[in-house]
Amino acid sequence: MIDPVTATIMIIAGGVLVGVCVHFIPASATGAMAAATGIATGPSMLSAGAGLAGIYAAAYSIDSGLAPVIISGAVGSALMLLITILCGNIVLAFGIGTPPVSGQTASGKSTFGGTKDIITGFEQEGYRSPGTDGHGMPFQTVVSGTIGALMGGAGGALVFYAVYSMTLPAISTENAVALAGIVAAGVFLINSVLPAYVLVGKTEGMFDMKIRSMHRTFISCLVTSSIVACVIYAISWLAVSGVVA
Amino acid sequence: MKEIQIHTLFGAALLSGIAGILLIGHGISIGIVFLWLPFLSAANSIRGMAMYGLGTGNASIGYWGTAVGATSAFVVSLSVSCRSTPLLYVAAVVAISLVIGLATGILADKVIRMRIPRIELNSAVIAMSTAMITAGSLLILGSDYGLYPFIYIIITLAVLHPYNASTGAGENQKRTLLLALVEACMTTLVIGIVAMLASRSSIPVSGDVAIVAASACGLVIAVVAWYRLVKSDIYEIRWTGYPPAEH
Repeated sequence: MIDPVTATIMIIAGGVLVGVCVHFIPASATGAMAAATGIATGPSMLSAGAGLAGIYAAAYSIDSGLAPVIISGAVGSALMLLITILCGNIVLAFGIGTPPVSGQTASGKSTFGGTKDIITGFEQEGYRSPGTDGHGMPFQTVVSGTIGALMGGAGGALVFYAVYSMTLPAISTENAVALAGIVAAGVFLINSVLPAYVLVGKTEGMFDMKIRSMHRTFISCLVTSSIVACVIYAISWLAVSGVVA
Repeated sequence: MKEIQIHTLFGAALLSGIAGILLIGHGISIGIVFLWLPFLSAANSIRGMAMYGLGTGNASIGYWGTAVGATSAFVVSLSVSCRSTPLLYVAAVVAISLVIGLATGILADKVIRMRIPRIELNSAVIAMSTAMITAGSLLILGSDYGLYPFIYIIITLAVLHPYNASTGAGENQKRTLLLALVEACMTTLVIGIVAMLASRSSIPVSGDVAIVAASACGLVIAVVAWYRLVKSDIYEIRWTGYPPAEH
């Protein structure tokens, strides 16, 4: 178990990680029509899904200590995202007939410049269908998404473990796990929607120029998570010390 | 047609929500009908935010707003007993959700530079309305932590769906709010049924039966009114299928 002040800091750090992770996960609503690179849903909803998968995974190792909980959360989240990307790519490639192409890279607007996949070196230009902004998830966006999901899952697990530690002295273990799970999910949803305003519904991850707006997400999530963490700390303290019935 | 202002609707929802929670807190379960107005208020504010094209879906706003409200109510329930001190509980829930909702709205406006009119007001209204609904639901269902995710999801769907379903050409506040009323009745009906099942008694508790009966009556009335309004709104194309301009 950890002390309440450390737990509060963990909630803030977890909230910020959750917010920042959204910038790394490739997602776009128009991806459903193979009209943009990224998984076919809004960035915040996808990140929330990955985060919830991470929290479920973290809950299984709650008795093993902090490090296994964080690793479980991160791996569970990354696994969920990679399966989603794999299935999305299969559908797009064999169902629609579109190869995975980064729209931003194909048009030379990627963060690192050039028209090639930064990791595999595969040429992107020429494979993009006319009138679209790419389709599918090429390797560089998969790597970016995996980094994002690891961060998000770890962030969710941090919040989960912190709330669990703070509430455990006041309620039973089963109830503490349930309450920590729903509170961590709440913190995840609060922080994952804020970056959506910056991303305007579409991002290709860290190879998208929108990654440069990450400082705004960082500040917003830092302030929001701090307020939420302080509220959780204060109420847990009241509950543990029995000040209010 | 003149639209109902956000603060007017929220003012009514706040009073109605507090009255409902106090009634439920004193054992009068039928007070849940007073929580229908907070549903309308939250749906109206989601409409107010989503109609400007945020770059995030209506669903995200609903999930986010309810996350603020419901998390506040869940966390406060740890320390303040919702049954023995309902007034203190509702005051704490409303105050905390106001602070978090307002702070997030201000950050979205000033730091993220969304430039959406009254985003901070709408954020606070969604958070406080959903917080009151969650508080009322917790009073009905008791402090069974296993039901928390259910409460969260059922409220989220009821507040995000009305605008999501009504959006598009010809959307208007009256129809969206009437659909919100339909979904509010549906939600309280489900809460009543779950309360009956959760009580585990062989004979249903009279308060839970009252919730189900009142919600079912409200649902029938709201569905009929909403259906009539839909028919009235589409009268120009209903008969012939020709566009209105050709009449």
